[in-house]
Amino acid sequence: MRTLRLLFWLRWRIAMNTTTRRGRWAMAGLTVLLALAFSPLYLGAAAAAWVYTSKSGAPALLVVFGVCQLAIVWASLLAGALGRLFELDKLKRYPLRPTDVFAVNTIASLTEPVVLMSVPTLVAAIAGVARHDGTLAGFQAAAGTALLLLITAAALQWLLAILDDLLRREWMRYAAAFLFTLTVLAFQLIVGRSSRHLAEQARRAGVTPERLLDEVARFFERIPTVSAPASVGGAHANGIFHEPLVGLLVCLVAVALPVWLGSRTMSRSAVRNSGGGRVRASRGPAATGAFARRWPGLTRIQSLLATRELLYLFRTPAVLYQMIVVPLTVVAITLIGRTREAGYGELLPLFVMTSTLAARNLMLWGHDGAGIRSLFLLPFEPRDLVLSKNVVWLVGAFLEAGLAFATLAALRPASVMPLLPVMITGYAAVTFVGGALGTWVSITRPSKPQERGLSRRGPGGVVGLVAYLVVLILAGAILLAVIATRSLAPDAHDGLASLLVASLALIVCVALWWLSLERNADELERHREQMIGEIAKTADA
Amino acid sequence: MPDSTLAIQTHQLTRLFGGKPALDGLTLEVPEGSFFGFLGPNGAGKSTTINILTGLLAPSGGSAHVLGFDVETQAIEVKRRIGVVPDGLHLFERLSGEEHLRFVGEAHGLEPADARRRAGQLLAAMHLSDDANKLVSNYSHGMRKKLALSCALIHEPRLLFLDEPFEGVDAVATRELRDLLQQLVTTRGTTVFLTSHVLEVVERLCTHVGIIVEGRLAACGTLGDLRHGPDGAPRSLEELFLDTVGADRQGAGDGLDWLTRGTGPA
Repeated sequence: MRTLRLLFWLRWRIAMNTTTRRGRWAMAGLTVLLALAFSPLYLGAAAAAWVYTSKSGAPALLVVFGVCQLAIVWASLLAGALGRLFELDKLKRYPLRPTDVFAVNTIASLTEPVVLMSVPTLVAAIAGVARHDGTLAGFQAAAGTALLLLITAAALQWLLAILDDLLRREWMRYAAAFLFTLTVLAFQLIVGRSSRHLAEQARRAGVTPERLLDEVARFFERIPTVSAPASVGGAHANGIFHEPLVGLLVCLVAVALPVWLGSRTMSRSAVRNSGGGRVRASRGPAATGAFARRWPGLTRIQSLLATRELLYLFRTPAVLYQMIVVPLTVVAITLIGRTREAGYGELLPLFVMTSTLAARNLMLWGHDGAGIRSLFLLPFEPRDLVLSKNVVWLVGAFLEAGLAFATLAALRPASVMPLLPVMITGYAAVTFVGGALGTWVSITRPSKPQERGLSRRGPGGVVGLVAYLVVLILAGAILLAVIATRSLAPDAHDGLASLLVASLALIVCVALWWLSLERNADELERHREQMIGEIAKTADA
Repeated sequence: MPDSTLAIQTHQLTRLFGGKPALDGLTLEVPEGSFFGFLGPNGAGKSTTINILTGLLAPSGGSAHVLGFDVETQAIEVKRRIGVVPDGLHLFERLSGEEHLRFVGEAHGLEPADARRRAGQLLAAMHLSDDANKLVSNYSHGMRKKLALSCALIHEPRLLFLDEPFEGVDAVATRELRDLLQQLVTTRGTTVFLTSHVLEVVERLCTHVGIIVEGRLAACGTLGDLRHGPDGAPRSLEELFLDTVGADRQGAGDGLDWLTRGTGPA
């Protein structure tokens, strides 16, 4: 308890000392907005849980617990929301036991938004059980709920410790960033397809919702991390978990074991040396004459900077991960939507690509880390720095878009091919504005990325949200202009007219981007000290 | 009008942080070709001075010229002619040591072939050849220090800013670096502006010394002149420093009876 109190006090002081009052209010406002945006999801689930448990009593906990655990684990993995409050690396000089730090992290992870969103459902289930079986049963269900959350949090923290340990090996980070995303999406695809298949089969076999719930309950009965807390909650599952005492024992083991194993993994990784990070001389710039080949249209210094950017892009797993995750999502959505109604397969991928554009370069300078100070010490013009950053970011964005559009065209040639030139031109227009906007945000509100793990949450806050909305509005405006033109132009010239409008938008956006370079270079000069202070600083506990 | 015989010239240089002065009207002159030791207690304004002179920080008031160029309006010209080993180093973590050196060399306008040749020679001189292809993120503190010094030297700067260059460097490397720096000053006429808390190093290397206290220059001149006290008697650099910064000679353990009394830890 003393360690817990001490660590939370440390976190509290760090948070208070590193944020402004305005920033805290803005963050609170954003949190409320997000909570409201997601409310249909978790309030709907809460209503369903209330109805189900009021009708069926404690046995219904199996399904509610199972769904909640699955949702927490799945959403945490998918959103990269795995995180821990305290890194043992930064605390290892103090006489703190790794198990204590791990346990504190486990308890603290219960405040993750994903977990908090499952709370209304679980509370509704407790209330439903109390209504059906009495107040005492309600208390019993509450105890089961607490154990469920602890088991889930401990398991996730253990998984995080394993991932973190793996990702400390430099070579592993490259592979993991890719494979992790691929695994998540592949699973999503399989589940998406098989659930449709199952639903179809169930409909044909005349399966009722009640029978389906029974099937789901029987499935979760076989999963100890669900059936044990449900047994404590009074679900009286079949098999060994019929006795709540057995359930309680299994629960305690299911919490203690991951905490013990996870803390061992965490303490081992905290003292692990990096596994290498050697650059193969034959593949690096050493093999060529100059550090940088001359890029078309760029000066020697700009090419030098752009080459460094490119090397950083391929050597920074977080950036690589960001680059890979969007096209993969687009490919997955296109594949999933292949058999669905027209529009889903084309519009949703475009929406995903566009809506992530603004957010993806908010860290444009953040990944330079401490090196940002060296950049400012060298004789570079601010405009060259801004231009080279933008050029490499645009190259990356267009590569991603190329992959996404190629997939769309290959899978839906009939509907995509006629619109492809307009889609590419319009997307390019939005990309240039997204580049300018992201550059401005990353300069004026510099922030440092997480140093470990996969992506974690990106920066953003209110400014990120505004940038996101501006890009979406711009994309919407271009789309509306194209639709309006198509409705006004004679049918035979629809394609040409749309392309002309999209091209006009592209020209305007490129001009805006070009003008923004000068403006952003001035901002770079103005915010140089702030950027060094934020990005080059050593991370605290 | 800047004096052409001075490598560094500041006049009433001021820098405020949150309204509090870190530099409070600093007027400093560093002759070209000198080995200048810039001393002061923690928080006196040494790093702030270096950060302003190297173009990282903007002054709140006053003026500063480096090699005749205004640090505010001609920052690029200044950066082309100086080499810096900053406090905290701040290198490009995701470049290899060799890439880093070549990047810095080419950024300073060296031809690619020259940059590559010099990078190889500097890495060899700093005993880093075996680790040349390792990412900087995997370098030890001492290796980083040597790499930072190599980066500062690759373009033959006229003026070197070294913020605690020997901190964390082993004795052998320190000796080699010291010899190299002395050679640069005596044979090439390079100006070295060095901060260090190790007074023995400053005493051994520097021709000129400046002592800054609370953002103001408290003493400045040749080492020989400054070592004579007000009564004309010679004194060590440590005595000069302590007298100048006004440190009382109170023992470090005073008031810490619980720590210094004879009984050992439980």
